[in-house]
Amino acid sequence: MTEITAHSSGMGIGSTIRYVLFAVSAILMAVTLYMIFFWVPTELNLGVSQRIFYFHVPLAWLGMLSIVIVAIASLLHLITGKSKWDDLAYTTAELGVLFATLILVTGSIWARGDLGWWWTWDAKLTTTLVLWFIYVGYLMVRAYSTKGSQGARYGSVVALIGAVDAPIIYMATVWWRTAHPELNVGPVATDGDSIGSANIYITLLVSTLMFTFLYAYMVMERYSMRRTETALDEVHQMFD
Amino acid sequence: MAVQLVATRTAFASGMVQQNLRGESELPWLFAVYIITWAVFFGYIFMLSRRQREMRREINALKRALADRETKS
Repeated sequence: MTEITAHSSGMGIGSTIRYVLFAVSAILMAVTLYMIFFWVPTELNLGVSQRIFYFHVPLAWLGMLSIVIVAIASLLHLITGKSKWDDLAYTTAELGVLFATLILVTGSIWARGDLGWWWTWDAKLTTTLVLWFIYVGYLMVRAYSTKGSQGARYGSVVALIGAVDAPIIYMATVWWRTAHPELNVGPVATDGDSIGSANIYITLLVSTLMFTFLYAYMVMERYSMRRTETALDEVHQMFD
Repeated sequence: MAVQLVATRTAFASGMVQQNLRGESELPWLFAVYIITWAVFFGYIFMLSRRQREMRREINALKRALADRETKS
């Protein structure tokens, strides 16, 4: 019971880090919005709708990072059997659904505004939709399997298989012809010069930092809650 | 030469007008993205805060159940 109370009260160094992360992301949020709407120039070829890029790209980066964290935490859970790794996997999978949904929605709206269509079955879009289904599949396995270690093990296997999708999404524009431009961000970027203005790079960097801080805050907050949920389940099992 | 300059300027100005018109027509999509993104984040945080309230109630109920058990024994 002391453990549950400690989790739920949220005192200690964990909560201080959470407050700092929240404050930093709130400040960066204001700076990012100022940069996107007032500071960065309008891209000549894509026009005003290109400003969606400053949300779409960071959301995509965090959506893919989530599945990597889910897979690593699941692997550690399978090796060690510790519930903290499973709680981290569950937390990042839940946030992964949120980010994957936003990648698809923001991309779809951008395509509608700029190209005139909502959806096309090209490689990058389809593999991102597959990522969304992997997250939803993971959470459904967890929701419908028995509570305890068996459900966690099933979920871990789904996560490990699902992680294969992350490099496929990233490399989709290299391996297949897609509606997306060639890679201009990341380790194997081939088309870095196409962005043109340094202001565009700086705005993208600040926006990515802001979303990464926000993501870290949300992971910590949700993880703390998930630990309490797990502890409460254990207490309920003791009472039953 | 002067005619060519005027023609170029006119073409440039009409291009700018087209760009501005296109920009204005794209604005609702841009705002839709920003509104939806923040609405989803706030919705998620609201859902978390509700879940936290439920858990607090659950913890208090468990505390009361434990206290009852101890007084009975």
